[in-house]
Amino acid sequence: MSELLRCENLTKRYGSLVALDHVNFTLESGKLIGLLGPNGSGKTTLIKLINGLLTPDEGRILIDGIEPGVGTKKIVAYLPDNHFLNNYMKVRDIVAYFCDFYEDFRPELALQMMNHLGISENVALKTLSKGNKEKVSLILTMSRNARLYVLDEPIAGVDPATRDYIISTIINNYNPEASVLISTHLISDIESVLDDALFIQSGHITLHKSVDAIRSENGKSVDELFREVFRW
Amino acid sequence: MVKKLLKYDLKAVFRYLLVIYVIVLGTAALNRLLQFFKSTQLWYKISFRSSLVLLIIGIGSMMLLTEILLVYRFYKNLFSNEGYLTFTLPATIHEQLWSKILCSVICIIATVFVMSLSLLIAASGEVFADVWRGAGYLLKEFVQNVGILNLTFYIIEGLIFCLIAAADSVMLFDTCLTIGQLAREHRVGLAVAVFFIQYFICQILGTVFIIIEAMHDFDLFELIADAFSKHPEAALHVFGVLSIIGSALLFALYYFIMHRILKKRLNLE
Repeated sequence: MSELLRCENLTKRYGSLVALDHVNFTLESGKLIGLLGPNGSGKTTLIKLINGLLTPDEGRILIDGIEPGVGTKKIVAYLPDNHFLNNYMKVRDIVAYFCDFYEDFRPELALQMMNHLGISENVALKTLSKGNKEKVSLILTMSRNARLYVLDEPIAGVDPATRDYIISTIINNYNPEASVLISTHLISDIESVLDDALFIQSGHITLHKSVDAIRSENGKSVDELFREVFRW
Repeated sequence: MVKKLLKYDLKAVFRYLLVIYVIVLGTAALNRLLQFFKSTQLWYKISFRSSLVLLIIGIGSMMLLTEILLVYRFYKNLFSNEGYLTFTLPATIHEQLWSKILCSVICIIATVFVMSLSLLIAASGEVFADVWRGAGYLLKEFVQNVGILNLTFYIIEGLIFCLIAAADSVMLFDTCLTIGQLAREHRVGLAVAVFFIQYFICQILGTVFIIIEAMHDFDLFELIADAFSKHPEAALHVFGVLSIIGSALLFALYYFIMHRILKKRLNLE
């Protein structure tokens, strides 16, 4: 397995608030990694930095050896934690949009998954329910043949059945040579599919281990360890 | 990449603009239709003048709405939730900016075209025959005085200036919005403040210039008036070229600020 993502002394401040404080870690390809932390721990900031939506105050990020830019955007598929698609567009228009801009986008796969869910390609996004909008966003993201998938809270705010669908979509559709970085605090739902866990607290990475190592060394599930570490 | 980005920018803006164009052209057609029933009766005078006023208001609103829609598109596409998609597309900041600039220029050209067409429709009847005759006479006189060669260059200079000025008119607001993104909170508030600050700076610079003029016993306006009376053809060319240079400098300044902030200081909420 080769190194896919490297953060070196990564620091991000919002005024006097230090969101990320000299963060250092590396991620290898071919893994499903959980970015786990409570609200306000720096998960979304880290994800935005990876995607070039924020600029670091100190340090740097390297994705496949290059800093965030056009080169990394070609190989990183990103799912934000809010609805980011143009509401006035129809499903087929947004599929065409992804087709136009991403060389690695697989439109047949996207339309096949949407048909499977009964989402017509002729409906406008604004007419879809919140859950269906989230499914469309996830399908579009996972239909890319990317090197790194970065999913910010993909299962927050959806019902358990949709949650199962989202998790199965992630597992079944990512390129095995790629890595998936999933940010969440709903650990029990996702723990069974994770290879590694990355705990983040107050802008610091406090733990980076494989899920198997956590279980064997601590005699606890990742969810149990998370509750213990982040207990108020 | 610019072509692809431009396609979606144009689609997003023309969704609204086409509706506005249909309304304005419809008002012009209504006005022209009423002219067929020309009479001295009160109902004709009221309906003709009302439709003419409506057309003028419609044209003014169309110009204003075009600018508002373009600035709104810039803000929504880059700095709202849509920005999460826009800034993760494999496009450079240069490509993103050029797409927005070209979209602005194309939309303004389209709006000016619709404005001209609606005026042409409304003014094509007998009612405006005197206006056309007067305009034709003035144009003929102007061509005879300046010659075809000068006229050709005036048109070229005018077109270049109009294209850059059209871009500038939208880029000023885009730049204010971009500077507003430097704030952690109240970003639109900062953008509004930046707009007024630049306005006040321009006023202050103008006042300082007038004071310097007065102190050195130098009158720029007199100099310009003198040049136009002695060498009108050449003075008009100089005026055209200076206008192009001035608007191009503004363009470069707006572009530099926006590119710098989006490239080095992007902090999407």
